[in-house]
Amino acid sequence: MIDKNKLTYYGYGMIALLLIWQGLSMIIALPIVPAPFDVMINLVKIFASKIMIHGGYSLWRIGAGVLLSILIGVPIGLVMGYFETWDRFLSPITYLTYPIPKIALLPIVMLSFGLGELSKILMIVLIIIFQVIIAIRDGVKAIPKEAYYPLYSLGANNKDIFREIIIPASMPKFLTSLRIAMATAISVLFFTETFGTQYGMGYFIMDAWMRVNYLEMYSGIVVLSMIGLLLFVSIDFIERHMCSWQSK
Amino acid sequence: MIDIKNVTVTYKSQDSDYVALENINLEIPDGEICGIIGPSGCGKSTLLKIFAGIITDYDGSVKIRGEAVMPNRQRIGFIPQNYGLLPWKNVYQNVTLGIKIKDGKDKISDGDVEHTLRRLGIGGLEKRYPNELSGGQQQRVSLARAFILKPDLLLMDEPFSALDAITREEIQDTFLEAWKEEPVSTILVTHHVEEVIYLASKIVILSNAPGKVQKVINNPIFGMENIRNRKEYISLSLELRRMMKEDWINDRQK
Ligand SMILES: Nc1ncnc2c1ncn2[C@@H]1O[C@H](COP(=O)(O)OP(=O)(O)OP(=O)(O)O)[C@@H](O)[C@H]1O
Ligand SMILES: [Mg+2]
Repeated sequence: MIDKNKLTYYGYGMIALLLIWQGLSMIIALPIVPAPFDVMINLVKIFASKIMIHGGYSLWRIGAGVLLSILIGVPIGLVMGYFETWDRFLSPITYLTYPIPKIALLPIVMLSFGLGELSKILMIVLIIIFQVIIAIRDGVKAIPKEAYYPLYSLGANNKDIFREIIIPASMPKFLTSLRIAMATAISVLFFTETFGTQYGMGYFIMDAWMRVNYLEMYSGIVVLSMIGLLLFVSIDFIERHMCSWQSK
Repeated sequence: MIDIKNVTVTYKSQDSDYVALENINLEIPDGEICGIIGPSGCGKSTLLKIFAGIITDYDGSVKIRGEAVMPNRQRIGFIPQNYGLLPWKNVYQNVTLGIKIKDGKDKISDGDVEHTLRRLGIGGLEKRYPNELSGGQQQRVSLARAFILKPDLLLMDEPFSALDAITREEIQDTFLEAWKEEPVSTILVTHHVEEVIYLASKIVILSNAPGKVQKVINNPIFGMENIRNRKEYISLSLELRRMMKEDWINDRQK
């Protein structure tokens, strides 16, 4: 019931956005702001033939980046949160590297790893992984010591403690961090896709711009936004299923 | 038998050390219910945490059947004062946590779970999360978790404190029935005089700051029929109150 309600509001939001867009395009009345309806028509027409492959590339890069960040970042965050010695060694490194604007590292990454897929995925990893590590570490540290008592009295081993306490307890903070990092990751993805590739939404949008094909450019922007939305919704979905204990 | 020799617990804070328990000596035979009673802050929970393997840094020795406290060797059912439920697990998952860790997931019997929950008056709440339960319901989930584990040693820290008078008596009876079927060694912490007389065969009175054993009493009326209506029940509770008060007055004069 609640979900249905929520969905309705999202529907309203979508309509409001489209109306604003429509209004703007009518006021400005230049080809640089085409009407949403024209863009939709164009999108339907060229999606399968032109855009899909670019969308696929972008989705793969960001998916691989997120997955890699989770695979590397989560274990690091967990051990930093739980084992004091690991934290002492790794915290300074994390804190010193965290404030570096990762986008500034793009030239270095490209020089070291080439212009191909690896560099693009690595850039996304660089953006997301620090947020994941820090969120998980703080999440673990915030677990009250009483939460461990039932497991201690059961003689649980470290594996049990990670599975029953540490991982579920740090899950909400982890998902929040992922959601925040995702927005930045998409911007960075766009940026990296304007270099050294013929594929990806970044390339597609910039290319349409160069060809002064505004309809295609807008179609690309819509698709890239949809990719972002898809990722957000997936995180929400996971959160609803794994952290339902929290919201109520 | 649980054998406690010269146990002293000191909490170390940044600026000062606090001696919570001093030189505790106690013997608790197997299959007995030992009630520990004493004023708030005298170290009852501290003592229980030693048996539960949570506090490991103390002086003296604690032996359970001749072995040091090792929760991975012993089967300990622990009901902490704050119930110790995990917020991210629903009632079913919380109740079966002990068996899952001790014996593995496939040893969980859903029939047992259902039966235990129903006996404690919380049947049908399996899918709820702790923050969707009342305090008394949470407490009973914690009881269910300890009972269903069929422990060798049952540690209960104020296990009925959140229940109304009627439910409390019902659950106390439920516990006693279960205990009579299978007399598990039990340590029950409470500040409720009547409760300790009703449930404990051996009563230990702790005194305050630092906690010391003031008196050990073998409860003469434990296990009798209809205890609550007996004259001895009332006189014993008056007697216990008097002993505890004496100790408090001595304390203040010090
Ligand atoms: N982690 C701790 N650090 C420092 N002091 C502590 C700590 N835990 C408990 N204490 C102190 O030790 C004493 C005994 O605490 P404990 O929790 O064992 O009391 P209690 O007898 O269970 O009290 P209550 O009946 O109120 O539950 C108290 O004075 C308390 O302030
Ligand atoms: Mg206590």
